[in-house]
Amino acid sequence: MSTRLSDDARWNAIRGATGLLYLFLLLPLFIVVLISFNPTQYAAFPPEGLSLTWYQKFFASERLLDALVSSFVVAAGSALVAGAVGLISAIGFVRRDFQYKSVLSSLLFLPMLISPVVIGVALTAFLTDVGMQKNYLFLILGHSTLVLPYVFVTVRAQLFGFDRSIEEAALTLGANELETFVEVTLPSIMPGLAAGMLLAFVISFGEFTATQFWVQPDTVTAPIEIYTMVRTSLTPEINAMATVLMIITVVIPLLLDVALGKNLILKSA
Amino acid sequence: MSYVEVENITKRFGDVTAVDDVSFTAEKGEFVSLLGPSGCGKTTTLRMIAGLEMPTEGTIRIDGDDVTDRPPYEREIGMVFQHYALFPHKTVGENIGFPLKMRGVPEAERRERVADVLERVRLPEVMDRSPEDLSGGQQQRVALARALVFEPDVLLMDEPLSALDRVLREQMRVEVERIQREFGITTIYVTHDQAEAFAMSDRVAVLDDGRLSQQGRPLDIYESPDSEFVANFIGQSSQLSGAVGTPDGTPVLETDAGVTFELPQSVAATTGDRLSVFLRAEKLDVSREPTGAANEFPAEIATTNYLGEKTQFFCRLEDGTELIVAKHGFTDVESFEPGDTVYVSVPPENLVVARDPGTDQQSGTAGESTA
Amino acid sequence: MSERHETRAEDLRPASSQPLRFRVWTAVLRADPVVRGIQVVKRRERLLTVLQAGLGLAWMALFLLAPLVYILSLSFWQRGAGGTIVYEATVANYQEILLQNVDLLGWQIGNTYLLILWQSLKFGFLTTVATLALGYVPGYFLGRTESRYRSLLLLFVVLPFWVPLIIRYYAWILVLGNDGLITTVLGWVGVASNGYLYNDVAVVTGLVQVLLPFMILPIYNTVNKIDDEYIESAKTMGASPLRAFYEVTLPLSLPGISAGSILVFILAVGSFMAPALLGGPANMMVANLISQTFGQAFDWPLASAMAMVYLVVLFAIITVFNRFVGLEEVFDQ
Repeated sequence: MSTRLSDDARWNAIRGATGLLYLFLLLPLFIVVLISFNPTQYAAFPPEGLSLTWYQKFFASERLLDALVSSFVVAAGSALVAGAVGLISAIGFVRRDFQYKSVLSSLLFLPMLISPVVIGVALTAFLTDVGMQKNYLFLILGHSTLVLPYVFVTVRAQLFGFDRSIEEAALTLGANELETFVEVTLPSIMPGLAAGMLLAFVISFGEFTATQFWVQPDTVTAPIEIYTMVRTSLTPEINAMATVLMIITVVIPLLLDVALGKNLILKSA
Repeated sequence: MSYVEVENITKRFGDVTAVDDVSFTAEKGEFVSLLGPSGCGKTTTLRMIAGLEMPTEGTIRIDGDDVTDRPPYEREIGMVFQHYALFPHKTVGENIGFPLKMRGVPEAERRERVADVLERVRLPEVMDRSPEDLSGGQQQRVALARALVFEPDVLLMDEPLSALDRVLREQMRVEVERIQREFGITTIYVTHDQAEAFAMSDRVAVLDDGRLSQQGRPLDIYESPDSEFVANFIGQSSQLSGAVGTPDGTPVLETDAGVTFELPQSVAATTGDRLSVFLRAEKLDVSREPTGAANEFPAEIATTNYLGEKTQFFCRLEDGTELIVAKHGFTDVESFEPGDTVYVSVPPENLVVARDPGTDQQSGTAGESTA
Repeated sequence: MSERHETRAEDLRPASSQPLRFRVWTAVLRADPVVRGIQVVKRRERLLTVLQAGLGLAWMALFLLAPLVYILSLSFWQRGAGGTIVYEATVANYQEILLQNVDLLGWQIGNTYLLILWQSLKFGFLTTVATLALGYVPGYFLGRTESRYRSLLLLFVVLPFWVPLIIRYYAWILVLGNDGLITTVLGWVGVASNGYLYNDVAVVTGLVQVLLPFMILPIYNTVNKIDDEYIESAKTMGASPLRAFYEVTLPLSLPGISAGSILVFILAVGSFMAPALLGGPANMMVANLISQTFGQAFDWPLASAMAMVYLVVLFAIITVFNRFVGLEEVFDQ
């Protein structure tokens, strides 16, 4: 009886510690959202009221909205490019046998490990030297490189758990290799591909560190604007903009996931 | 010329020879089983017929066409996989309609034919369900329907019942057989289960370590196995080896285990021949007292196993060799204790006799069919 | 009924769609019965391998390796007037980094590159220790709980990945800053302060919060895979719950711990944003120094040399780690 009680006590302590950790992880973000509705000029506690003042300011600012659009264009482009490249190379790495596979696959993880500052600096120096302009294409090429590992890893994991007999079944039922890929393989690895591309989208959308070297005044993205505001004025507009960004990268994907009823996000987690 | 002809096919994976010079045939509408223990090459053989593996050597012909180098989708074969391989992201109807869709059959006709084939496998009203919501036996029927709906030339089945539990397996065995007869489709069936192969097949091909050991009707294979492997793999038997002698003028087998057997008249034996006899467990008799029957010899009970439908006696001969005797419907099991002396007998015509291929044969190996 | 089916069979047979090339090859190779067919398949396999795996590798070669090689060569050149580059091979940049104090256009860094690199490694180490200390228990909880909300709880560990990094660091300004949460709460109980930003603790706190999921998830993964029966059997053999944890759970979760630790360490060492937003000039890390040298001092060759030294250190760490745990395993977690 006594050990049973102490078992429960121990488990409750573990549960309590876990709860505190969630607080540590999520409370700061909650505060950003909370203060975004505070009408005063200072990011003060406790909030002195509820207002949408800073959202009005944000949505009235063409500069900030342009930045949001830029981020969206770059993130969508990078998710598509990294999705295609990541999918195809993951298939190559899982399905084919070749030498030095494991060393070569770490090359595809490398952008996750190297500081984005170094990647940002190196790509800027290299691409400007070969005569490339800093435009959207530049940003998409750079971001695709940064997010490719995420697509590669998620698709690869999905392929490892893939039962190849359903592909063989399709072949015996009269589907050629291409039809088999489109009808059977692709739908089966869709959860991994979608999760990877979503991750690619949100990471690209919020990328600042490498991006700071890649933007021009006409391609400034939302995280760059936030950084500028943080470093210069610390205006409460930041909170409104940050909240909008979180809605785009967290709330909308979650709602879509629930609405489509696929639960890709929960499954991939 | 047979409908399906597999001619001298060999499959090597690197240094490993998975299938070694195997040939067999199936007539139109015939049900042929490839039977053997796991790793004997039966599944590889089936996959070569399907086009999922390329043979290293040999030829495969279906209805006179050489299909050896054709990809699976140009072969007109229906295949049922061990774990069914139903597409999890498609409904039952879409799964079964898939081969029709690949052949350009319009949607309306597809639905009609899917409904029709579902009727024939006795699984109506599941068309719009997901295969994952069906039971194992139902998934089995869907897989079968999918492989049959486009009227392929040949139906291939790879241990399709092995994922089911025993009772369902026996029900499905009957069902698969009924469907096969009804469609009249040439079927090649891979299994490691002797009962399954015997119950369903017109002919059985037994494979051992990549080679074809024997093929023929179930009755022939059981009653006259032509190798030690087949005799031991099919059914439960004990093997005794010895030399032929003629102490009373008629040839008898004097086994190394010390038991002398009167041989069936059909066996032509001359003095000095090395022969083996396979003693089928259920063809041996056991009694407490000598009965004077032919080929009777004493043995000591080592263990008894009461299995319900039958009782197994493990009997030890003087030199330590063990024999298995099985008696059906035997209830007096408790009166036999280990250490008791019993008398084992076997009529000469029930002996399966084989010529020893070499002299390195161990005498008295008790064989048991691998499950 | 069966008649209807028989008439269909012929219509359904697809016309042979073998391309001519394929048939020619088959015919040619048929001369040698051992290799025919297999050769065709092998050639196609090889072509597919090159096309598929090669695509990602080519991408990385072009947009990652080539730029790195480019700045490697850049690091042996010199900055000219007005941020131009003098193409004259020299090791001056490396001498400056490794041997002299860095003085950049009046920025008072007051420290050498090596000291900042050392500081980065120190922050990385502290962050790793702290994330492990804070992350093990939640990882263990998520791995062992039978709560039906487990996937929801996991989702909340993953979700912060989706929040732009800059917002996650910025949020700490609202917590630790001048009028921030902590100052305000402490003010209520009469403790006055000017906030807690711009020091080592603030930088490491930010790093810990941002990188915690990288520690929790691998630990969760390994703990989750431990069969209950292992722990139960340890208990039937007389181990107390604590002893069973120490003897069974902990060793079996080591792969998760090492995977999480190496990831957190590497990511922390390369961080730019934590020191940029939460630290002062004295809390600078290697990424910030490279960024300043490149973007504000326009000394691309010097910045390149700094990046190279950082990369050498990074690969040394990865190589050492690779001896103990394969990098592959880290990404499989």
